Amino acid sequence: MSSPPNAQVPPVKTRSRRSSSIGRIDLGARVRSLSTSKESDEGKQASQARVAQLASASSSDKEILRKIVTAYVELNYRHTWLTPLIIVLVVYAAYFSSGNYTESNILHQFVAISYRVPGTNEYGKGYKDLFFVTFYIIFFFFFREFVMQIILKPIAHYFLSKNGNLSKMNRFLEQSYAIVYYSFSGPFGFYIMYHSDLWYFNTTNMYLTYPNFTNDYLYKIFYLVQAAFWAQQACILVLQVEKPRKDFMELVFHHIVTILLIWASYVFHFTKMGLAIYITMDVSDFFLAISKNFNYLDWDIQVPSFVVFMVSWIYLRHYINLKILWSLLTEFKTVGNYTLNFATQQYKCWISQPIIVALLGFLQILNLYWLALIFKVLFRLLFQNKMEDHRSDSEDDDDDSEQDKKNQ
Amino acid sequence: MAQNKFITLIETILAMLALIAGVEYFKYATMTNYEWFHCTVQRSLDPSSSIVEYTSVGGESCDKRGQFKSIVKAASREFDPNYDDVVFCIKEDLKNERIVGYGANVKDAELVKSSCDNVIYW
Repeated sequence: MSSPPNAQVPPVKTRSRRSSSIGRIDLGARVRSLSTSKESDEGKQASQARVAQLASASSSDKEILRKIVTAYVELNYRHTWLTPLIIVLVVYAAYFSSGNYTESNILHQFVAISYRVPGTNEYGKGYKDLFFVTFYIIFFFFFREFVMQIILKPIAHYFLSKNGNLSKMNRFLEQSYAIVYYSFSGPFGFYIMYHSDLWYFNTTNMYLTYPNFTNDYLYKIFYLVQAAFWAQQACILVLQVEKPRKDFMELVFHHIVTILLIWASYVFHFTKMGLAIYITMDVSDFFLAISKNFNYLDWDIQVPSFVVFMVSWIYLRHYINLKILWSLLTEFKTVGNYTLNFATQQYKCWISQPIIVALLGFLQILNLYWLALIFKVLFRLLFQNKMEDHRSDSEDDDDDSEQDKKNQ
Repeated sequence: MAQNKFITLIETILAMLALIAGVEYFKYATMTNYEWFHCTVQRSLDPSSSIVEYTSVGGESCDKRGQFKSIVKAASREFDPNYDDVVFCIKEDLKNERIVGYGANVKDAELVKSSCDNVIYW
């Protein structure tokens, strides 16, 4: 029934999105995955072709074998965690069934850390660490995809469908995975720090015992697993599973600096400094992910969670990191050895000091840029009480209707 | 397109591995040839003979082993036994806590023997 002419149409009441900006800010912490990437037309067509082939009749053994291969490819396309899981399971099965859990087992270098110093709980460094990192990169390809698609997706669907926010599914999944990972790595990092001489962000002991040729068992596992996590992130970035967004260059720089810091600190024996930096990054990313998810859910708690995130960010990524930077300019030279000695791999000297300062300084500049974005959100929150829906404004939102259908 | 991305990934991985290998080689090479970086060989000539006295300086990182290596390398490069018969010796100068080496033409062998005991004839 149409409305009478000249009738006044009541104004459309739009929902206020005071804090929608939180979801739009990418602070380089977005953990991308293969499953949340948009399906390409090529991929869809190939999948349809495979399904059609599987539905067709097959008479010969060759056709049946071909179907098995096609079925595997299609399953892998739909469940991107399948192949990494198979690789990980095969390696683990071969290792555990061998009965040899020592470093003499060639599989040991993949599944466990190597270079144990006999009679101690300390582990040295060497080329086998690369095999460990590579294996756990494959593990993280499986872990991320599996957790996001099988465990988190139903939970995300349940909560997001209540608000009609299914278009935020992928971002919600990615941040939820970040919560899962950082909720483990942050406390684990603190646990390791508590049981070392670095508690609580003690900067003097970072330099006193340099060079740290060996590390404790858990310390080394933490370091290398983190390296695998970030390397897997970088692989996703290189594969460009998503169309590069506005913040792509910052993301690239962030990953390059992160991986350079991890690698350089490990090979040049600055792992004590590395642990402190890891913790500051992971814990602040945890609160960021929580804040973003509350924003996607549009719950009232999003404002206090944003405040908590902001405080954690400023404290960890600025106060603590600047404290470490300051110690680089002061204690680095005066505490412990400060002389270049290639024979003893003593690299804490006039050469490494400016390099480390530059790398951490660049990280600080990146964090300051993101802090500016955070303050922008805070400004909008406090002073711009807009009553318009911001959702359609951003080009970053996952507004693809095909994606919505997939998520439903 | 997807194939190009995988090729890019493989290229990136190979580049990273090359960088890692390069740095590890740098660490190894500088460790085994550390005296090249840390020790500077100094020579003093005796005007009345062909004797060359070698010492090596370089601060804390130039240890006795480094001094020894750098002196032996310098002397063996500068004296060619294919052209001249030479004598060489090296000893530890306990008083000055350093290594001293001597190289000379064989005609000054007796003078060299007066400075240190183990003389090597090339």
